[in-house]
Amino acid sequence: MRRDAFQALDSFYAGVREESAPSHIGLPSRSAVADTVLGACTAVCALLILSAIASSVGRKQPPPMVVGAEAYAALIEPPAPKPSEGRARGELWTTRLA
Amino acid sequence: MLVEAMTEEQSLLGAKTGSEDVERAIGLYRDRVFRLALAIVGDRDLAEDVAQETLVRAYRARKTLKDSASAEAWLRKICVRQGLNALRRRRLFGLGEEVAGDENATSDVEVRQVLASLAPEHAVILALVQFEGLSYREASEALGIPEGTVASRLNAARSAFKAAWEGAE
Repeated sequence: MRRDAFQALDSFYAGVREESAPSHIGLPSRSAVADTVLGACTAVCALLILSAIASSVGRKQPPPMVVGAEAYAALIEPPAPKPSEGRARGELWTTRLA
Repeated sequence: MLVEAMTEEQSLLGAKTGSEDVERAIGLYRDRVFRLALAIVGDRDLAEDVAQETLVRAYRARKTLKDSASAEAWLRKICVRQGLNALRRRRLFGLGEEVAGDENATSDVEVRQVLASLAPEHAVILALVQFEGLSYREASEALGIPEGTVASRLNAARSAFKAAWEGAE
């Protein structure tokens, strides 16, 4: 025979009174929060370091500069003065004086 | 039920209610908050959500708790609000309760089904008065309604439960 409605309800509530909250319910402790924050910071730092290493390894080197023979010579010894221009001016000057 | 261990909390909480005191109180009340949530919603998974939300909200609003002696009523009020919201959401989205259990628990499963079919306000008033054993005044404070409304709502809830129980036969 089926139980009375309120007997069943009281029985259900009696069962509820025996329950306890699962361990995951509640606030995280301060140390757990600190551990989580520390762990997150460590992970972020590790990622940054790894990405920096990866980018430096994979980076393309600039193409070697092609130095022509003339440019190389210019570096070694200063260019000789161009004979034409100064001399031409000098000639003109002397011509005028004359 | 929540009244039983108040002396322990009061000695721990002391006169002031700092953050650490509230954390400690929440740790001590978590079982009772969970049980009240379970009595309201009837479903274990949903009760876990309600209890967790209650504790998190209580912690966030810890500055609103002025007096450590009122921690019990304060937490209960938050739990009731969260329980009502959960029941309304379940009803709104048509989420049925999963029915599971062994043969010995058949009656409890039926009770859970019947509670789930009630209006959220009825399930809550039954949990507060029948389960928690609150007076009409305490229930009216928890719900924020007049005592007369508590009485009439409780009568309506009992009638609805009885009718649903007999209709489920």
